[in-house]
Formats: sequence, C-alpha cells, structure tokens
Amino acid sequence: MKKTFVILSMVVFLFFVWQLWKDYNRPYLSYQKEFRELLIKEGGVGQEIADFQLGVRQRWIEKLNRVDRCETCHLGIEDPRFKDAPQPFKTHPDADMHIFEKFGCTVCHGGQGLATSLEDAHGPTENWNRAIYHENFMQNSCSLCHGDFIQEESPVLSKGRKMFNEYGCRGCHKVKGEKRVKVGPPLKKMGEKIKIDWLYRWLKDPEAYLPQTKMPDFRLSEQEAADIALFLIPRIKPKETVQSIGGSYEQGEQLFRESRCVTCHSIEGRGGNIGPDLAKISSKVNPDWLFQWIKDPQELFPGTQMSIFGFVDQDVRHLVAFLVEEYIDLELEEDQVAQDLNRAAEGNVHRGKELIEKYGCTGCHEIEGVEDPGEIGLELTTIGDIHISRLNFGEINVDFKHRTVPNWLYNKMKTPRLFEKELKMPDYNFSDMEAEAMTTYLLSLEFEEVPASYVFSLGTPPSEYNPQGEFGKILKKRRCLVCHKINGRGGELAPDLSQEGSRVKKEWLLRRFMKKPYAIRPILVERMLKYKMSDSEIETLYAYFWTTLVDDRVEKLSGIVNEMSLDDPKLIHMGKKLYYEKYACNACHQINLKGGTIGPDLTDVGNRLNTKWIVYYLRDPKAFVKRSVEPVFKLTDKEIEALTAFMVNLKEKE
Amino acid sequence: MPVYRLVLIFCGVLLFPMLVLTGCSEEHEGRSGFVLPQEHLTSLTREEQNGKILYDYYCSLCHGDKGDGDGFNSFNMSTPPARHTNATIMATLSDTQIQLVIREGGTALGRSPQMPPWGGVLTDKETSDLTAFIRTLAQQGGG
Repeated sequence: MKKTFVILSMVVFLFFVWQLWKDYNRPYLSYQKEFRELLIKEGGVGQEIADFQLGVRQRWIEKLNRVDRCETCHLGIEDPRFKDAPQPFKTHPDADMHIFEKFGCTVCHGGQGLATSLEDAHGPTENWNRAIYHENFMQNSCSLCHGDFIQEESPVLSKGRKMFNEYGCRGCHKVKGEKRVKVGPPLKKMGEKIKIDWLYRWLKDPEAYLPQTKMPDFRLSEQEAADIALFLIPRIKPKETVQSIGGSYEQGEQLFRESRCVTCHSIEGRGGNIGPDLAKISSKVNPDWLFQWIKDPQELFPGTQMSIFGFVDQDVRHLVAFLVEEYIDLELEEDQVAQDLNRAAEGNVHRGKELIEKYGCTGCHEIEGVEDPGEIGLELTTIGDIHISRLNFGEINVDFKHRTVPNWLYNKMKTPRLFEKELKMPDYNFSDMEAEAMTTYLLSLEFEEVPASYVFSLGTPPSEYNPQGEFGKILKKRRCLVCHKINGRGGELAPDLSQEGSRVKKEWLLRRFMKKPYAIRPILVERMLKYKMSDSEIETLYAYFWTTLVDDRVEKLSGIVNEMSLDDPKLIHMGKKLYYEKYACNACHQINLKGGTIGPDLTDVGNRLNTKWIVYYLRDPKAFVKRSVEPVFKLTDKEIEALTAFMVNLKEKE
Repeated sequence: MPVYRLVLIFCGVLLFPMLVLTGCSEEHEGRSGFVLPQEHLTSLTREEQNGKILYDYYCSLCHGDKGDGDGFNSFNMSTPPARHTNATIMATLSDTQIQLVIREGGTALGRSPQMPPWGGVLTDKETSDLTAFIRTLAQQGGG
C-alpha cells in the first residue's frame, strides 16, 4: 500500500514537472534563441544583445481591437538588417509605409494574432478558420483602409473588381453598393436577328464561336440547348427566305475600311476588342437585322458601345453585302447547319422557358416573355467574412489545413460546379490569374470597418460627368466616351479631351481631322472613326470645345505668347538646334517621316496645336497627361521660346 | 512455345496491376479536381519587380523588352540604345553611374542626348529599383 502510494506520488510529481516544462518550453523560444544568434552574427551591439529577452512580444492595436503576437517569432520585421534573413526573421518589405505600431499584422495578413505557435497563428485551426492569406490573395485587405477605388497600388484587387462588373456577376449576386447592370444584349425579336442553328451551337459552347466572349458555358445538354433555342426563336425560317439585300461588295469593303470598323471589332483576333469578332458573322445573323443594326444599333440595344455612324441606307446595304459575303464560317458544313436546324426544331418551348428561369439568364439579358426574378444567387455583400462551415465542399476530400474560405472561393471560380454537380452557376473558363483576381475581390467584401483615422482613400471615384443638351446627345450617339475621356469619365484608348479646346486649333480640327481622321502617333493601330457629321453637329462640338473644354492655366499664357518673337529666324534656328542636338527630341518624335515613333508626329504641329498649349506643355509636360512617357527637361524661358518658335513654324504644305 | 507463354504470363502478372493502378490514380486525380493557389515563381526581389514595371513602361520602347537594345523605337535612332544584356559592358558601369544616366540622361556620361533625363519623372526610389532590375538583365545569360 505504502509502496503504491510512493510510486503514484512519484508519477504525479513527474507529470507535474513535465507539464511545467511543457509550459516553459514554448515552440517560439527556439526561434528566439536562433534570432539571438543571428543578431550576434549581424554585429549587434553588446547592449542590444544583453537587452534581448526571451518571451512573448505583443502589440495591442486598440483602435482596431486587435492583439498581435506575431512579433514573438517574426523578430526582424522592423529591422532593415534582416533584409535577406530567412523566415521568420525577414524584414517586412513595407515596414516604412505600414507601421507595425499602428496596424499590427493580422488586419492585412489574416491569421490568429493571439496565437504563439506556427500552426495556431497561421491556421486554420478548429476554432479559428481565418488562416493567413496566401500571397496571391493578399491585396483583398487593401480596400479596408484604401477604399473601393484603389487601382494602381493593388492591381489584382482592381482587376477582380473590374471582372466582377464586366462578367455581369452582379446580375445573379447582390452586393450592396454595386448597381445591377445587365451586361448582355436584350434578347428581343431573336427570330429576325439570329439563325437558330447558330444559336443552338452557341448555347452548347459559346467559346467555340467567340473565344474571347464573356458569355459563360452553362454546360447545357443537347436537348437543353435545343429547348432554349426554340423558346427564343419559336418560328424557324426556312433557309430559302433569306434574300440578298442589294448592295455592292466592293463599295462595302471600301466603307468598312474607311469607317475603321476594326478599331473596335477584330477579324480572327486581329483588331480592336471593344466589339465582337466579325470573322464568322454571316453564320450568326440575318442580313435584314444587320441592316437595322448598323443603321441604329442603339435602338436595338440601348446599352451597346457601338456608335451611330450616320450612313445613308444605300451605304448600309453595301456594308451588309460585304459583311455577309466576306465573313463566313469556313469550317461550317452545310450538313452541320441542316442537322443543327433539325435538332433545334426538336426542342420544347415550354421547357426552354423553364431552363431560362432556372439558370437566371435574365441576370444578364432582358428576355421577351420571361419575367426577371431579380438576383437568384447568393448575396455576396459580406462573402469575405463567411464562416467555413457554411461552405459546402460536397464529396470532395480536402485536407483540414486547406479547408479555408479563400481556397474554396478560388476553386469555385475555377470550376463553379466542382462541389455539387446540380448547381446553376456557369463556367467562365477563368485562367489561374483571373480566378485569383476574382477571389481577391470577393475576399475584400467584408463586414469589418476601420475607424475614420485609418481611412486613407486611394484612387479616384468614377466621375459623374454627364453633359446634357445637344453636346450630350452627340456624345451618346457617337459613343465618344467609349474611347475618349472627358473630365474623368470615359475610355483609355484615345486622347483625353478635357482640355481639347485649349490644345488644338479650330481650323485643324474642322478642316482636317474631323473630315479625314488620321493617327497623330505614328505607331498606333487604333484610328479615330470616320463619322458623317452634319454642320450643326460640328458647330455644337466646337461651341462646347472652345467654351468648356478649356483650361485657364493655358489660356492665361496668351500674354507671354504675344511677347514672344516667334518669327525671328535666329530664334527658330536656336530652337532647331535644341530640338536635334541638345535635347534630341527626334529620338521619339517624327518630322517628315524622320525620327522616333514614340511621341506624336510633329510634321504639322504648327497647324495642329495652339501656341500657348505648346508653351504650357514645354513648361510642365506632366501638368495634363501625368503618365506620358515624356521626360521632364529643365528648360529655361529662352529655350522654351526658341523651341516654340521652331515648332509653330512646322507646317505641312497642302 | 513455352517461352511465348511465359512472356504472356509475365505480361499478365506484371502489366495488368500496373494498368489498374495507373487507371485508379488518374481517376482519383480527376475526381477531386480541387486545386491550391500556386505561387507565382519569380527570381526577382520586390525592388526588381517594381523596377521591371518601370522598365517595361519607360525603357523597353528603345532598349527592348529583354534589354537587348532592340525596342521598336531603336531603329529610328542615330546612336543605338545601350544593350543591358551585355554583361561585359554592364560590368564597367557602377550603380551610381547607371542611376546618373537615368536621372540626367546620356550627356551626363558624355553619351548621346537621345537617352533623355528621367530625373523629373522618377523618384530616387524608383531609379534605384530600376537600376536593380537592369542589373538582372545581364545575369540572365545574355551577352
């Protein structure tokens, strides 16, 4: 009895000691000892090493309500000496911009701040699923402080946000603050527009016809594709009724070139990417519809990016004749067309409607005869905060350490029906990078907010610029803002017109450019479209350009310009020497086909640009176009005068 | 004949399970389909990556995408742009000299003014990042 008691108490004692030792010998201690060695090796001062104490290090970020103990192991994050040290001691690359004292770690990186072992801190663990973010998704945290418009600083996040809108995700998924826009064309009078055999093939595999399409693949069976096709086009036209529209192929081809359709459309991948590829267009649409479309695309699809060119009817017929004859699908056999036609005819209209409702086609398309039920998908406003237990992994066995919200979202983006075969979400065929961008954006949709003192908005919110009246009408009709930007709104393809009235001369724009647009930069492929503009339209443009699209910083240079002796041959000669010798402007700019091809051609610059604009630009090239590839020379006033004199006298002989 | 039979048996005994095994493993992979995000492999440091973005935007037009001095604009110049892949020549230049040319243009080292000064456009940090990236071009086995 006594013996047993002694043995038992020995065991209990040993157990007690073992527990004490376990409590003392925390895993982080070995890191800290290793770091001390490293500190000695890095030549740490004696005092520094003496002051180095073992133990938990933590920071309480009161305003963010976070306690982060990451520094217990990540000991060198604020010390530049450990730039090349191995992890966990490496210097944080952003330490000067995001001060640890103010932000801590977990607000950006995720993970469990209070934990002191690698597994617990990096996660996921049983009761803490927010593991530290994979580097590829890190940018999701930027929007927390930097707002919804951050762009250059977090390219992955802003790419994801852009994709979310462009692919029409909002059509099925609600996100508070984001407007629901139907990104696809309205599906009305489809029988007039589309050939049903094409529609049948399209529904089965959109990318087979248009590899760059945003239309996802719903993985429809042949029967399902036939059902939907037949619902959209209930009356199948026999092939013979398609008649020639009566235009000339040759004239159509000329118009096609002159109007520069390839600025927006591509032909077998070559050309612009604003509109769809036209290489197989005649296998898709009916000529009569094409006529209506080219004449006024905005009537058929109010949200289209295509402008009204103002062609007379006969010109449109020429264009249609050219398009229908030239752009046929060479791989498409007659038999195939007949076979697809028959298959589509076997569809069930009623079932087609049910499928359209089931798959939520109305999220992107307005469809005749189908009511829009609103968003049919999960609301995503706070998807970044969702608990892992609410995500269904289906029958897929995933290691516990990989069962995280980001990994689930990433796989969902790559293969939307991976976890459950019966889901409705279609496949967008995202690449790895695209899926990462989407995941990053989705993770940024969080409930968490930071205190006002942490908010530091980057990027600019979208401009509300929306001119009314006659000018507004022209802007809409010609879709100028698809390529040009004015006052912060519009595309990036063509020059910003916000200061166009101050920049170019009226005569040049009126007599030369709008009559026969040309590329001012020799290397650019994109060309200004050629419109048939009426005199009143041109007058409206000018009135607006020269009263509104001007900058007073340019206008007030008139006085200085008037005092310049720009006709002085000596000054012109000096300017020429500066242009060719001192500053070698010809390295990037061309005059009479000689010189570089980076900047605008200067052969006719004297006719094109206002003199005060030249002076304004030479004084500060970055004042207007901030990101131009233009060096900033420190020019003296005299040099500016000489260069201006040289340039205003560069005029093309007519 | 027994040899032929032996070979047959050998094949049966050895190859059949192998086939079954490969079949199984393929099916297993295909069934799961769950993938983990892959790290984007780059040998460049953060500074060099930043430098590469700047190089692509400002420099590659003349110096070429890979630093071979064959950018599309190089053919319009009387003095060909420097080849940053030329290790022998790059070795003769110190970081300070490279940064000086970036900041003040070719004339700072008595070279062509066709290399313009970027000091008014790039910050000191950007200039040093750019220099770090330019250094990597010669290491990549160019010559």
